[in-house]
Amino acid sequence: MNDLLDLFIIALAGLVHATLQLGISALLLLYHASLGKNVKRKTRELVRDFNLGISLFIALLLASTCFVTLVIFGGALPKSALVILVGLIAAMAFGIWFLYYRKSTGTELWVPRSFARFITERADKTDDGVEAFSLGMLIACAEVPFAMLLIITAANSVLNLPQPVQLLAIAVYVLIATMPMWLAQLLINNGKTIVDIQRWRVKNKQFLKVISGVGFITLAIFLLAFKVMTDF
Amino acid sequence: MSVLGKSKNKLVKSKSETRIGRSGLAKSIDRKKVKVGGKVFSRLRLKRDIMREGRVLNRHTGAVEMIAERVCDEVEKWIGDRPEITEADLNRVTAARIRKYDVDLAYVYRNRGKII
Repeated sequence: MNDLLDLFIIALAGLVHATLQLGISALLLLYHASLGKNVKRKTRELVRDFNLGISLFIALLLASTCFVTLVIFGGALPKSALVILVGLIAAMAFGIWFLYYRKSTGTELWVPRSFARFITERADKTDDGVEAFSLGMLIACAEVPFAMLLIITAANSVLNLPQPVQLLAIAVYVLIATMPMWLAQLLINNGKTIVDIQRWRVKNKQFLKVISGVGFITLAIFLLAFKVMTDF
Repeated sequence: MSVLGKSKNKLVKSKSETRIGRSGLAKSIDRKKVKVGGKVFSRLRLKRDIMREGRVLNRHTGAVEMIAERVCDEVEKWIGDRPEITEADLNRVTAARIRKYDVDLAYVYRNRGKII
């Protein structure tokens, strides 16, 4: 039962991670830049490498967070740390609602404009797999301020699982967190254009914002109920 | 040849010469304005940008080229004798002109740099 609970928390944290938009934005930028100058096959390869870069970075970050937690606390997080984590996750929901998107008609995000320009230029200059892979890692790294709490939550649950399942749990988290990117790639490969996806994102911007914030709140409540208050 | 040179955040109309850049594309250069680090309006660059967006949407090259030519004509007509225009104005007017021919192309052109 406890293992199932931990797996559910990992899945929920991954799902909330999937609602963050920086990865999908950068993917659309890469598509836009690459389709303008490369053939479709090359673009597909670049996007696949980009997605692999994001996936690997998240997997490594989650694994290293597990290791650091293990070294510092000798296992899963203590109750006091969990209480702080719950508070921060709840606060992050407000961050998503009020800070994550800029107040503009498009889907401009919180990242500083200079960094956004840098990403745009990098996407424009990306011509081979290594560059696309590195861009993916950079984007996953840039998302860390909003994703770190989710990673810590998932790491805590991974450490509660039996060792043989831990790697599988990390894989599940990564797969769920990067699902929108793989889905977007699948849609574009099957005839949708980046305009269709971007229009959908603009149209549903408020909805995405609400869903993301509610996801953070749900995770906080879930942790509070099943991890913090269990022994009281 | 009449081009628009950019001064700080404004594009300023002035006379200039045309030369072939390293990319092999003809680039309009305004020596006076290049000194302040601004970029210069060029019909060729505008056409190239529109054609590139057309490729993104997998549009037929010939069709996009025709649209690009017409849009360039209309944009140049709009510029007319204006002493200066902003880059935002240029993008807005170009997108509005493209919209008459292809709504998706206009959308992707207008939203360049607004994704992230």
